[in-house]
Amino acid sequence: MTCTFSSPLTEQSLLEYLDGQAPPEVVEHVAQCPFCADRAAELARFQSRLKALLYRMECPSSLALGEYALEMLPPSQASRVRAHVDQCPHCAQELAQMESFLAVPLFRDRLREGVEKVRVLVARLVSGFSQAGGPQEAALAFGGLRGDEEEPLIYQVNDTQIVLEIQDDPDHPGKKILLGLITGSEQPMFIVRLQDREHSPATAHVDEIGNFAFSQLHPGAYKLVIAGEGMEIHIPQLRINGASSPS
Amino acid sequence: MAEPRSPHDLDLGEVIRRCAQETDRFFRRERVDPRYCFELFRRALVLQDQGAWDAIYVQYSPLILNWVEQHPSFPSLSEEPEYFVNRAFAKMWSAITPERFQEFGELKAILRYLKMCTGSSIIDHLRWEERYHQAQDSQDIDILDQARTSDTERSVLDRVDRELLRRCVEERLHGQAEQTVFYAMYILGMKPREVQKQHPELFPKIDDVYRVRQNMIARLQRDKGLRNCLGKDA
Ligand SMILES: [Zn+2]
Ligand SMILES: [Zn+2]
Repeated sequence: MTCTFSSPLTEQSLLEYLDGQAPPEVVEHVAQCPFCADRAAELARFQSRLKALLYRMECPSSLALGEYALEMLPPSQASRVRAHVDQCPHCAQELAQMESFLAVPLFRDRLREGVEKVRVLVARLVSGFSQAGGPQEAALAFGGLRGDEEEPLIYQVNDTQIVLEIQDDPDHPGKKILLGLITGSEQPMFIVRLQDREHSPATAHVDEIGNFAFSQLHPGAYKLVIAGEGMEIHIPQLRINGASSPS
Repeated sequence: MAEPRSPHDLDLGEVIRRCAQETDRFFRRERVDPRYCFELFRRALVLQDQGAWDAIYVQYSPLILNWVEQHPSFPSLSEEPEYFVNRAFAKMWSAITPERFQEFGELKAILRYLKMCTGSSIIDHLRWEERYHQAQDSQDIDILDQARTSDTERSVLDRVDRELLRRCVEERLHGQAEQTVFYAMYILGMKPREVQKQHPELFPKIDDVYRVRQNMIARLQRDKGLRNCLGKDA
């Protein structure tokens, strides 16, 4: 079998194709050329085997992450886990999720009273408009255009106020951190969930004074959910823009 | 000798009955004596008493189910919540040996650990599912199934095999750029764009990541020795 076209695709093109990053003419080529389609499939098999065997082989077991979160690991093992988590995005996310899961009290009213309904409140943007030029667009355009100092976004629902600040993530170029502060809530809030369409939701735990933080955020459109006992506060649309280069 | 009503001296039936009673009191928001439930765990974990285990299962399964349903990943889990109840108990059983039980001074610490085991079994499931979706053919899926059934923690043999394969690959890498691409993409599972952003000094442009990987994969794929390490039909 030979290539249907004048020249077979390079291996780089095939790898881009497998990553879903190839230009349309490459996609077209693979679709019409059984020879190059076979080569792509063979490369995919090879990479898949490597990944099936090696992917996350260095990651601590989930139990080790959990014992780390509970501060039960001996110091030497704990510092190994810490060092790994600092460079592994998967474990960082799992650990954050474990920590917020453990932060919820062991027993909740749900158990006492059967399944309760969660009351959902939507927070309204009350300050931070100038970032965008109008209340409707405000949240959408937020985030360091030209690296300006960013004005915090302030949301309000009943007596609860949520202040959000978005900054460059100093440890991860191109990514952002989101700092939040919840004040005036009549009941404690436990967990903040940040969701976008492409990634699994990130969660953060709210500390005693109402602070929470997310790091390593990709630019994009997010939904923010703050959960407490039997209630949730939603910020349905939060845009985190990339600071440096438009993509 | 301990005081007459010390949980230590009661027969198992009595410990079980009191633990259930105290749990009910808790849910009625009354004062609770946690010693009986703690004693139930002690008999299960230290004395390895099957009757105590059965009682714990009955007493605490609803609580674990509730934790599973609270978990942020619950809506996307493809297993029934009961699956995680069993996994959580199994994890606790193998992790808290009789010697280790002394680390847990009170009931709350044990329940926190049980909750952690619940979260841990959810993470295991999510890890497995992610790799399962990445797998391309039946042999890869076999590898994953073995990893899943080799009980809670990865078996020692599994780890040794992976180490060998890793060394097998690393011996064949040329220079720091290839080592970085291999580690970041195949072990940590990062995307080319993430690798470029994390190592701009090695890869000024994203094309540099692709180029290094292309050379590396092309060479590795042709390497007979490596293909032996990977299994027959790789
Ligand atoms: Zn072709
Ligand atoms: Zn990891």
